[in-house]
Amino acid sequence: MIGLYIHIPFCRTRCPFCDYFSLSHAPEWLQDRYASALSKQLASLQQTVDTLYVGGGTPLAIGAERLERIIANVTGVQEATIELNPEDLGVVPLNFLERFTRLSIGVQSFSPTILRVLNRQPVDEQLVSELTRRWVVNIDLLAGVPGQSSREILEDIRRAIDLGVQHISVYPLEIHYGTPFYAHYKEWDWEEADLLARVEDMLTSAGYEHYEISNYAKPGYQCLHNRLYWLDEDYIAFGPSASGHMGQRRYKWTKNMLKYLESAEGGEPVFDEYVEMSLEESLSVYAIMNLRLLNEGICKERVIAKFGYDTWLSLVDKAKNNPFLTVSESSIKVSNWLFYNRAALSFI
Amino acid sequence: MHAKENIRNFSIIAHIDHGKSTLADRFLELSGMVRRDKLVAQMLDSMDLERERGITIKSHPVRLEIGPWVFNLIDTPGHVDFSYEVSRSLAACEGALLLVDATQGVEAQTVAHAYKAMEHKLAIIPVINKIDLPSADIEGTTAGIAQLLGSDNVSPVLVSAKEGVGVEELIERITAEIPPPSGREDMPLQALVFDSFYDLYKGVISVVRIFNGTVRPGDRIKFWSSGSEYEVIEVGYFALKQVPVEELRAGDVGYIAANIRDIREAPVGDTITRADNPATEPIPGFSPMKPMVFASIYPTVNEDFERLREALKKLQLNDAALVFEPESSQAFGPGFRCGFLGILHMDIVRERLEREFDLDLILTTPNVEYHVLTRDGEYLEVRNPAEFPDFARVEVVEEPYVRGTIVLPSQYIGSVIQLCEGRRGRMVHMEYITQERAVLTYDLPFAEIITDFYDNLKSVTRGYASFDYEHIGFKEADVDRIEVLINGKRLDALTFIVPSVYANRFARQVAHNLKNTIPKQLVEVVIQVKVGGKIVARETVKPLRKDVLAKCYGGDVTRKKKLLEKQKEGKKRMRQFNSVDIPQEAFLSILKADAR
Ligand SMILES: Nc1nc2c(ncn2[C@@H]2O[C@H](COP(=O)(O)OP(=O)(O)OP(=O)(O)O)[C@@H](O)[C@H]2O)c(=O)[nH]1
Ligand code: SF4
Repeated sequence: MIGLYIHIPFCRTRCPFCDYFSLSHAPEWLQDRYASALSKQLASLQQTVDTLYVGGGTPLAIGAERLERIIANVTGVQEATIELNPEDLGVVPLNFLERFTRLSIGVQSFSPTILRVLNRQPVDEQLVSELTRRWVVNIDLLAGVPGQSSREILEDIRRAIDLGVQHISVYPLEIHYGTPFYAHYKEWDWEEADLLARVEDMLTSAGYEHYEISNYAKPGYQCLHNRLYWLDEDYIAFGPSASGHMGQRRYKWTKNMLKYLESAEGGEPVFDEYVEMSLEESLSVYAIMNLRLLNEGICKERVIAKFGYDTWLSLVDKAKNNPFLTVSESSIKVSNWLFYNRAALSFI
Repeated sequence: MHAKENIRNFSIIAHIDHGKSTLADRFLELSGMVRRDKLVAQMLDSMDLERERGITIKSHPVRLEIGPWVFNLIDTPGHVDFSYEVSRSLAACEGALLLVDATQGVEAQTVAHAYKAMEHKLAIIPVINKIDLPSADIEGTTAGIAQLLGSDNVSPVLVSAKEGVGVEELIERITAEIPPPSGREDMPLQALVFDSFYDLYKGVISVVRIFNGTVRPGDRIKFWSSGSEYEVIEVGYFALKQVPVEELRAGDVGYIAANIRDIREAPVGDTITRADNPATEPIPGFSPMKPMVFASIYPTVNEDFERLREALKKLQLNDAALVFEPESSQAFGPGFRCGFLGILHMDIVRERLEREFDLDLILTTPNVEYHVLTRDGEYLEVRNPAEFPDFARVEVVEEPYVRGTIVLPSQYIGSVIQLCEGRRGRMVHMEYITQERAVLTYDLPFAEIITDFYDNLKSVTRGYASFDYEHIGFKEADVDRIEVLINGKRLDALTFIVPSVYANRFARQVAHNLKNTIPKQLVEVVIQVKVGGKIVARETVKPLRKDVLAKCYGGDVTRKKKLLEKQKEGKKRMRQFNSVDIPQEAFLSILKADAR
């Protein structure tokens, strides 16, 4: 399987906690130029791909028409996801959404107080519930927002379950250097490990599978595209700051919009990072990514198929003395997902 | 060789940046030699560190031939850590130029060194430099010098070292006022070693002033302090480089090489004489260089221990004041307990180890030496707080004191007195050099100086005070021991001796700083700090309940991997103690604990 990621680095406004690269209030000409450059890049793409993921930023910040142009040539995929913000819902033409099989909505919270802290719009719950009938819907939720109580977090989870969405991602808020949140809340230290365990309980009792550290899905609704990342398979990426992976090669496009545009319009490609990884490095990335899949872990069969039997033995050897890893006949998994880092260190 | 009557041996006494090097340049030019910067580059190649820090610790003496005269210009070290060498250098001279910047006036180092020169009964020629500057205050500077020398009728030579003004007159004054060396060639050899360094081929090069007798290659010489004997392989003087000569005679300044392989066999301050025809007396004033500040150095990875030993040995070749012995700490593993002349010396050693030998090091908080008399009459010299005897057994503790000279604008007197009193200082003397400038003399515990005294002095006087000190021996001290327990077990590397007056506050600060630098662990970490055996501070680091990179999508892979790599690297740099990972910063945080 091969994935295709398209990055739309535009947002209507910048959220104070976000450290992704995106531009707000970009002029029309820039959005046009970006759409043209990207559709040109995609038109020259030879490979067929199995999954499509349009992310951002806020993809719809540049409008449905421009997005149509960009992805016009991408067809025949098994799964096509687009990221949406609450304010997109009800505005975006449904026939545009028909291009996709999966909608990922950045809800973050249902609580008006918390949304105010985050400077985000509330989502129309009724509408979300309706969308689940036609699409696979994911919603993103944040835990550990400054001022957010445990009760509020659990309440958010309950409401998400009640909406009947097939997929839920829950992230502890990270406070990143350089964001407005950092200036305000850098001392904020959210250590509610017990609460994260209760979140897990609630979601698994409601029939969701905790399949990746931050991701829960009803059986059969795991995100194929994101799985490619965690399985360390190949994926192609377009857009400033987007990263791709092909065999031993990893690249990350430049963050600089103008440089990116020039290269997309036919100039030399400009990368912030372009590495041909050694086998050892590849293996290290492979291991730490696969460990994120909590139920599968590093799977013996896949390792043997991809790297050979000796490699499997070497991984087992590395894992042996780490109490945060559980080694079995068929896999190596993290013992406690809350200590994923400690588990992963064995492969660094 | 020149007749003794035409030789003048002298030093330039000056505060930092008052223009010593620039004046020396003028002398070099007059003697037809190249500029000093080239000389420095040739002779002091290995010492870039000192030059980078803007302090030339010391350069070798230069022999200058100007007209019929031979001037031996003897440098004095520019930093108080090396003040013993200043005294030895001055002992090699008959005169000194007291060089004062006309825009700055007399400063602490000028005062301290001038007193030393008077002690050695040198002829002192006051020189006022930088008279070309519009802000030059010749009158005020003259008054300051007069006050300092205790005479109302000084006539300083006015020079601009930069523009060469007044240098001719200065030379006349030197030849007229500084006496030629006395001493007799037909007496037994008496040579004062006032500097030394190591040469790969010739062994130790002893820089000497010959007071009596002569010395030439082939002579058997003897070092007074150790009695060890060597055969001289070369004698000579310093011009641009070492210039071998047939013989050094009474009155000369030069060097003796005798293929000595250990610099401590030829200590600075010692007297060299002939083995077959020894002098009856040594030159007075010798005292072996004693380390005054102690700290332990550990490699961050145990495997570097041997490399560290080799590196220390190499530095010691050129640095007789550096001492070290192996020790082992529970927390850091094997390392060395080292002794230094002062904090600057310690810093230089550390930096050279890291730079020139590419070592990654942990340095513990420096401390002074304590003299302890126990109740059962045992006398101990304690250089490592962890080895301090139980306080119940202690009768008397003594700690080293210095006499500090502070020169400052009078408006800051109040705040400086406050600072010194807060550091357990006792005022010895206060004097106005001019209406605006004063000299304060304080006796202070050396332990107070090796922390942040100087930084504080600078900040309360906005950088306008200057400071110099000399060691004056040991005095009784009222101190306590501070110990740190991590989950109930004493961590030896965190043991300190501090004055009782602020022991409790210091202890609380230590606990607080440790809490903030020890990362959360799988178990709860309890930090307890004891003063004199009683727990006075307690902090806990709550256990770690999660350690997980939550968000990880495509683009993040390399970035997240780097985060994990950093985590792993950080873990490697931590020391395990009692199942607790302690990072280096925790140890460094103690340095910042200030309880005053
Ligand atoms: N205007 C003026 N500047 C001078 C004169 N003499 C020296 N300087 C300047 O004063 C500064 C310090 O001079 P140095 O000769 O390096 O002083 P130093 O005493 O050797 O300094 P250290 O090696 O740090 O002890 C330099 O920038 C010189 O150029 C002078 O006569 N007039
Ligand atoms: S959180 Fe989403 S919408 Fe907000 S700034 Fe970041 S990318 Fe844009």
